[in-house]
Amino acid sequence: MQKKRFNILFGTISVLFLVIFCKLFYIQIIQGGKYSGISNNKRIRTVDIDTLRGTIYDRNGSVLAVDKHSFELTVMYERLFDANSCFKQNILPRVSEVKKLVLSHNLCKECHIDKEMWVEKIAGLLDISYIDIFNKTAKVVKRVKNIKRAVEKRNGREMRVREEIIPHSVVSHVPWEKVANFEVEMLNLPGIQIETNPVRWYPQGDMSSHVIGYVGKMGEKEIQNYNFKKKWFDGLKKSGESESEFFTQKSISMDALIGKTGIEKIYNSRLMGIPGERFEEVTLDTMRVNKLILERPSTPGNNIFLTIDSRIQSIAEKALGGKKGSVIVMDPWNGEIIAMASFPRYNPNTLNKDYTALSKNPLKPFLNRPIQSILPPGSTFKIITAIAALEENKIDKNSHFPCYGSLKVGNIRFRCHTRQGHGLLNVEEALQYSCNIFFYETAKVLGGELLRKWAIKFGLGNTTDIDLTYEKKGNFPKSTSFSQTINLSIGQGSMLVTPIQMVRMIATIANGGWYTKPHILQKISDYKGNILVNNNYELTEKIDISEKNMDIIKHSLRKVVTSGTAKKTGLKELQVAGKTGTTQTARADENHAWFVGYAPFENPKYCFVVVVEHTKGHGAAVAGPIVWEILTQSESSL
Amino acid sequence: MYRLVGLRNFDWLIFLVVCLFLATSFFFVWSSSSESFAFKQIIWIGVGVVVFSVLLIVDYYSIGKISYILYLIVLFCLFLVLLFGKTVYGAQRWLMVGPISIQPSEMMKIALVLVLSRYFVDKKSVAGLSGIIFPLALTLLPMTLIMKQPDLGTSLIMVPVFFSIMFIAGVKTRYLLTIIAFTLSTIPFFWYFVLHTYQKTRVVSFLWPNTVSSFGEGYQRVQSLITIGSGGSFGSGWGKGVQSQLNFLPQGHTDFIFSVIAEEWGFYRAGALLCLYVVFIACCIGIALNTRDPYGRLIVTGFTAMFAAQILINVAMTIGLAPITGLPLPFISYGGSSMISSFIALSFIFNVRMRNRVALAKDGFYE
Repeated sequence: MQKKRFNILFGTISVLFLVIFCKLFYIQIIQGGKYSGISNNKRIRTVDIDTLRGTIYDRNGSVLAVDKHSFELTVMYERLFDANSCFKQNILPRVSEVKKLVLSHNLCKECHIDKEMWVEKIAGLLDISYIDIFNKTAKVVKRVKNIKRAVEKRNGREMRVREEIIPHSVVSHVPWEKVANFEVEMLNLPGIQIETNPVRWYPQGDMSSHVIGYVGKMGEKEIQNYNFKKKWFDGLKKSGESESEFFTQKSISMDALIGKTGIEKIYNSRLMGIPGERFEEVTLDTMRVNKLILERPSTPGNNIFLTIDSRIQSIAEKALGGKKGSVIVMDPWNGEIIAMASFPRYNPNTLNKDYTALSKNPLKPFLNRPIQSILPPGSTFKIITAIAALEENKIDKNSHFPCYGSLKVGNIRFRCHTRQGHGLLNVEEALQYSCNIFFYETAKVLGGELLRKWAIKFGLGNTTDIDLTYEKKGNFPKSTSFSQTINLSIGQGSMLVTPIQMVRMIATIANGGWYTKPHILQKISDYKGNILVNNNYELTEKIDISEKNMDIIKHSLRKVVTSGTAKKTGLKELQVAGKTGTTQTARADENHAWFVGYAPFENPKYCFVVVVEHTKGHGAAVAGPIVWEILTQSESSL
Repeated sequence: MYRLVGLRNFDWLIFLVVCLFLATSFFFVWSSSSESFAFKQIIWIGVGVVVFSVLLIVDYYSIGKISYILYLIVLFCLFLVLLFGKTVYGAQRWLMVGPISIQPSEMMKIALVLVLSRYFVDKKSVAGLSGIIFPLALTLLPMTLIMKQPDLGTSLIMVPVFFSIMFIAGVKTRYLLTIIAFTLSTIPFFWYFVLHTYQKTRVVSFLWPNTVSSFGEGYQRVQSLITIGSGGSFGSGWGKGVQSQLNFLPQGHTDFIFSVIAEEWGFYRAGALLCLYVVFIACCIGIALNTRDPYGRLIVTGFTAMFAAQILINVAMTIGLAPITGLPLPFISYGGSSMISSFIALSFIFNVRMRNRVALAKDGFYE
C-alpha cells in the first residue's frame, strides 16, 4: 500500500512537471517568434507615454498652471549619435556648400550621406537653421553620455542605458502647419517622428509667477543623481495609491519636466504623474513599429489648490504697480496667504526666451520679494518694542516720556523725525505719531536682551517655513552696545526681516495673540477629484500677552490710522488698524516704505504688509495708497 | 543522540545535483542583478552549508522528539511578526533580532513537517475522521497567521505538504477528498474576506490576461512571458538577455530568476534544469520509499512535497500557468531565508538517509 501511494505521489508531481515542460516548449519554441526580444533585425523598445502634470488652481478654482499639448520633433538616439560624430569631424553635408567643396568633401559625403542627411532635410522642412539642430543634437548626446557614465560607474560594468534606444526631442513647439509638411516626408526619414508633448501653460501670465514657480528639464546636478528608482513618486506611494512594486523599478525619463521654484518645486512629487509605457516591437533598420506588445497608460499628477485668491492677487499686483516691492495679504485666523505680490515679475510662459535678459536685470525679477527680500522693518518694529516694554512692566499705559526732537546718548545725538519734538507722550501717542524719542527712552529701561527675546517670540529674524522655495531667514542681532539697542528699538540698524515675517507678526496681533503659520497650499486632489490632503490649519498656541496690553496696542494701531501718521491716507473709513514705517537706507534720498496692518479693526478679516523698496516717499504716503486701493477694490467687487 | 554516522550512506547524487543548482544560482543572480548580489548569495550559501552540516550531526529522531516545542516557538514568532514585524514591500514578514532579520514563515514550513510527521507516527490508528481534525488545526493555524502578513505563497505551500504527509501516513482517500471538497467550497469566502486587492488583481490578470494589462500587475506577467519567449531554443547567452539586462523584468534575481535563466540559456538548458529538479525530487522520494523508519519516511515525504510545490508553483508562475505569488525557486533564487530553510530541509532528508534505522513500525505500515 505504501509503495502504491508513493507511486501516485511521484506520478502527480511528474505530470505537473510535464505540463510545465510543454508550456515552456510552447512559449520558447512554437511561439518563439512572437516575443522575439532579440534577433538580428527586431527589437523591443519601450516608449514613455507622457503624463499630464497636475493643474494648479487658486482658492476659487481658476487655473494658474496647466499642461497643454504641443508638437515636438523626436529623433532616435542612434541617429543623433551618428550626426553628432559627423559634426565633430566636420563632415557636414551642406548641400549648398558641398557644391563649392566638391573635391575635398565628396568622399565623406558619399559614405556619410545617410548618417546626417536627416538634419539637412529637417532644417528645410521646418525652416530652421541646421546649426541649431546640430547644437541641440550635441547637447542631447552629451547628456546621454553623462547618464551612461553615471550608471556604469554605479554598476561597475558596461551597460546600455535606456536613453540609448529611445527617441529624444530635438525641436519643440513645432507649428502645426509645418507638422503637416513633415508628415508627408516622414516615410523617407526613418527614426524621426512628430510627437505631441504636454507643455506647461500659465494662463494668467506673470500673475503670481513667483508663487507658482516654473518647470524645466533636469539639470546637470539632477542627472548626477540619476537613479533607476523613482524617488519622485515616494509621495504617491506613501499615500497608498499603488501597492505595485513595479514603480520602484522604472526610471524617470530624462526629458521629464520638474519644478524648479515655487509651488511647482515644493509639490513636484505630487504634481508629476506616473508616465505610461508602450512596449513596441521595432524593425531595426527602419525603426518602424511592427506591433504593439503592451501599453500601460499613464496616470496624471495630483491637482494643487492654493489659498491664493487670484482676484485679490491681481488687485494687489495692480496696486503695487511698477514699484519695486511686495504685498502680502493673509487671513490672520488660519495663516492662508490670500495674495502675495512681488515686483518686478517674470512671465513663465516666455521664460526660455527672456531668461538671459531677466537674469541680467539689476532689479532681480527672479527674487520672490515677500519671502526673499530682507529689509530693516523701521518704525513698524516699534509695535514689538512697545509690547516688550509693556509686558516686562518697564512702562505702563500712563508712563510718559518727553520728546524734544532729539536725544543725546553719550556723544551721539539721535533724532526724532520732527525737529521741534512731540512733547510729553505716553505709549499710545508714541505709536500714533511714531515718535522715535519715546522708544529710545523705552529701550533705555528695557535693554537689548529683552527686546531681542520679544522680537524672536514674534518670529522676526527666523523663517516662517511657508511652503515656498528658498525662503530667506533675515537676522536679529544680539545688541552689543547701548547705541545699537537704541537703533534696534525703532527697527533700524542691522536688524533684517522679510515681509512674510512681518505679516506673521501683525497676524498675531490681529487675532489676539495666536501664532499662525503662513501657508499657500489649500488642498491636494487626485486627477479624478478625490481630495487627498486637506490643509486645515488651526490656531493652537498662544503668545502670553495680557488682554490689557493687547488692547493698548490694538487701539494705538487704530489711532495711527484715525489721527496719527496715516490719517491722510483715507484708511480710517475702511476700518484699518496698522503702522507705517519708513526705513532709511544708506542713500539719503532712498527709503523703504512700510505699512503693516489689518482690517476691519473690530473683527479682522485680512492682515497685510506692503513694502516699497528704495523709494523717495514716506511709509504713509507711498504704501498707504496701495493698501487703500487693495481694500476698496476687493471690498467693492465682492 | 549525537552518534556520528560515516559518510557511507551520504547521497552523492543529490549532493551533486544541489551543487549544480547553487552554481546556476551564483551565475544568474550575477547576471540578473549585479556582482555584489552574487557574492552576497555566496555568503548565504556558505551559511546554509554550515547549518546543513551541523544539523547532519544531530539525529533527526532527537529533533523529532521536541517537534511540538519547536512548533510552538515558531508559532509564537509568527504572532510577534504580526505585532512588531518589519514591513517590506507592504508585507509584514520580517522579525528583527538585533542586526539579523528572520522570516518565521520560512521556519514554519520546517516545523509543520516535523510536527505533522510526529503526530501521525505517535497515533496508533489513522482510520477515523476524528484523527485528522488535530493535524488540520495544526496546519490551518499557521496558514492563517502567514496569510495575514500577507504572504499567500508561503501559506499555500503548506497545503500540499499537509496532504502528502496524510496521504503517505495512510489516511483514507475519501477523507482527503472530503477535505479538498470542503476547501474548494470556501473559495468565495476567501475572495471576499481574505485576499488583498493586489492579490485579486494577480488572480484576475492570470485568468483573463487581456482585461488587466492596464493594471500594472499584468505587467509583471507579460514581461516574464516576453523574457522567456525571447530566449528561444538556445538563449541569448549568459549576461546578454535584453529583457533582464535592461531592467524590464522586475524581481529578476528573486522570484523571476527562472525567466532570466530561460532567456539567457534558452529552452534546452532551461529544460535541462527542470529535469534536474525532477531527478532531485525522484531521489528524495526514493529515500522516503527505502527508509525503514516511519517517522523518517514522513519527514522526507513532507520536505519533498515542499520542494516540489515550490518549484512547480514558481516555474508555473513565470511561464504564466499560475497567478503571481511571491515564492522563491529553491536553491536558485536570491535570498537568505529561503536558502537557509531549503538547506535545513535538505539536511533532514540526508539525515534520514544516513541513519537508515531498523524498522520500529507497526504491522501493515508497509507491505
